[in-house]
Amino acid sequence: MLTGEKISIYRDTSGILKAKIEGGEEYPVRPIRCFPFTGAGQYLGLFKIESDGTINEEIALISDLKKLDENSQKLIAEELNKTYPLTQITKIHSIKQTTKAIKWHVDTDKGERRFEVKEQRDICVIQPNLIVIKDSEGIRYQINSAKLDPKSLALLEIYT
Amino acid sequence: MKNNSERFKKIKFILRLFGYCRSYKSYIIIIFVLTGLATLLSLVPTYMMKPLTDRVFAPPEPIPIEDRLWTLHLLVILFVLVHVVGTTVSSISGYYKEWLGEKIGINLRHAVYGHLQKLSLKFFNLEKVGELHSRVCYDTMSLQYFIVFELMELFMDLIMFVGIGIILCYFNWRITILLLMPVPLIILLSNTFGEKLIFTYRRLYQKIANMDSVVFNAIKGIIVVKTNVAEERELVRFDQSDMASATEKLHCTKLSSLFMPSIGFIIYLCGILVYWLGGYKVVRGELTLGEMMVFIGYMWQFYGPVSGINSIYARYQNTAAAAERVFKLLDTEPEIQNAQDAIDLARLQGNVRFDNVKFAYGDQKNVLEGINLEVKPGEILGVTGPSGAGKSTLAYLICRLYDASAGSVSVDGYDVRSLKIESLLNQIGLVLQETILFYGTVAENIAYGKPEASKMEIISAAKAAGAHDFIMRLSDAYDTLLGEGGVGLSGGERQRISIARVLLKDPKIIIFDEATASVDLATQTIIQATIKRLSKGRTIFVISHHSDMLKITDRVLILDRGKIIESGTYDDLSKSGGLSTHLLKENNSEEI
Repeated sequence: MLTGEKISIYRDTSGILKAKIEGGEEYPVRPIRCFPFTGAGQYLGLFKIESDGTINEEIALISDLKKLDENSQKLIAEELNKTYPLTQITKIHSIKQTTKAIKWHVDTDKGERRFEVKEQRDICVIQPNLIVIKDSEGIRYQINSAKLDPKSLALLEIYT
Repeated sequence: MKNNSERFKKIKFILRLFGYCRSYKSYIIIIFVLTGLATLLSLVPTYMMKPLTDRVFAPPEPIPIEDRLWTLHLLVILFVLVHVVGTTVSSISGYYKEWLGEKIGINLRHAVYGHLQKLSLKFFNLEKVGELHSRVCYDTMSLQYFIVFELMELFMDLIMFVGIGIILCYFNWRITILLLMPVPLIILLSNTFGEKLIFTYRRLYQKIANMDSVVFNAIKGIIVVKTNVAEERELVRFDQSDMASATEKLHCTKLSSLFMPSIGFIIYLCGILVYWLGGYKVVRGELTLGEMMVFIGYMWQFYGPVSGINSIYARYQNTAAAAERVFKLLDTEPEIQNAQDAIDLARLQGNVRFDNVKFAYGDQKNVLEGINLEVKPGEILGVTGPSGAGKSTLAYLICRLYDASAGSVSVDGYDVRSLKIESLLNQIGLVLQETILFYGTVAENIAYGKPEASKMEIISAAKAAGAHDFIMRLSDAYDTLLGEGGVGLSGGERQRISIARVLLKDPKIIIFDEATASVDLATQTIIQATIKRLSKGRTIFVISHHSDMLKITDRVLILDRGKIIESGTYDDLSKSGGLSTHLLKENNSEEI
């Protein structure tokens, strides 16, 4: 497994993300998180991308993003933000069950949000304190229940 | 005599049930006090009918209007007060009853399910899934309900019965005796019907458990059902079991509907007698109208508890039956247990030896007949033979899922029965044909045998099993939530996750039991390469009747009817014709 010190990430003139392995070979790459919810900053697979955009083999597995140089870290973080636009719910104002959907009114790290969840199964308890919610438009929200206030927790309790 | 011992057994079960309440003594006392208070308060409004009638509505002797109105105002305030206090106390005790019920239920279910996990494979082979589900979920719930609600109701009924009895005796003991007249008859009827009801309820629970089994099996085997176009047949099977339980339920209802109206009729007759005798006494001025109103009010309140007390017998019988089933399960000793002086083997070398091993399932004929075998670390042993030859049993004996009926299976010179089961199983990996994945993430499924595994260990195991690449292509990679049974993954992918789960434990002995029987060629190739790579320093058993799998082994055993009929390298056996004859036979039978 290649470690971060041996890889540098850059964008070429066309804006394509590329990895240079040990200062030699260069590949267009896409970073994929091994554990997008439970270990977002750790274990990234760097996958070679073909010209048509298909994902090819994994060329490196980086155990910790911090092992990359600062510029590479920044570029990877940008790319990951595009791939995993996960919104963190910080407070729950209300959850209302209607006949058609479950309506949420929450505060997130990106501001106040209102969304609908169609099915109970779109609320997934990944780990005891980690809940991922997919709304009716496919947008995903993450809740770290350990960080929620008691009122939000009480509202969440019956849906998890 | 038999009846007495049966009764004693039932009482023992019920007393044992109370053991689960021990930690909640103080709560039980509070609930009893609150329930008693609420019950006593419920008697007050009827009693207040006497002053309301005799001092307000129709005083037998003239009372000034101001006094009557003052009494009326006072009584109205008292009615409201008693109702508010009574309802509040009753609500609080109701909440605590539910709370206590859940606590006891959780303890019971924990004990039953925990014990179930410890029982041996043989036990599960003999029991129906639906029945076990019934024990864990329904029977425990019925016990919980009995302790918290039915016994509490009995307590309330007794308070009512005694309380009303005392009040009525105070007013007129003769009419009270009239009220008590049907009680012996009610007890007699309860005994007669109660016995019948318990047997009917037992049968009903059995039928419900059977229905559960039908549903469980059909859903678990839905692929087989669909590919055999057996939906209609399954529906018929379900309808039959549903009908059987409905018939039994109706039988219970029939008994109850004979029992309850008989009691109702007796009570009604007595009520009429009270009207008659009471009315007679009112007319003759021996009883005031208010006292008669109190009698009438309490009369119906009085028979409620009598019915409740009499039905407790049937409910007790029902609960005793559920308790019997639950405690029977709890008393089932796991057939395979650690010996008292069991050895905790820190690290196995992987030397496996069978000495004259025989095995039979219960009283049936031997599945294995005098197996002698030694496998050394670093060796890949192929085991083949027709279905029912004892191949899987051989593997399960190493894991101590079963114990040999005769002879011994040893690992590194220790009889497996002398080792701690956990220390043995932590160092043995078993890959089955049927992949079993649980609801949870991919990572959780891989780390099932070692929950404390680091993320790096999980990734390494997945890589070693050839699973990492496809996992990284799943929507959330290792955090992807898998449905029950790994829905959404191909058979090969599921098998690779199962192998990763085994490899994460880094076992010294690995058994592949028909592991490639349901996978595609690509997965088979990956599994073969994995086996070759893993064989260094490990003992590997490959149970298969595919020549491609046997080719990678160092030695092949051919088992037939529980005996090793041939043994040698794949090439030697192929040359001698034994293996090819067997494989040809197997493959032909498969084609057929």
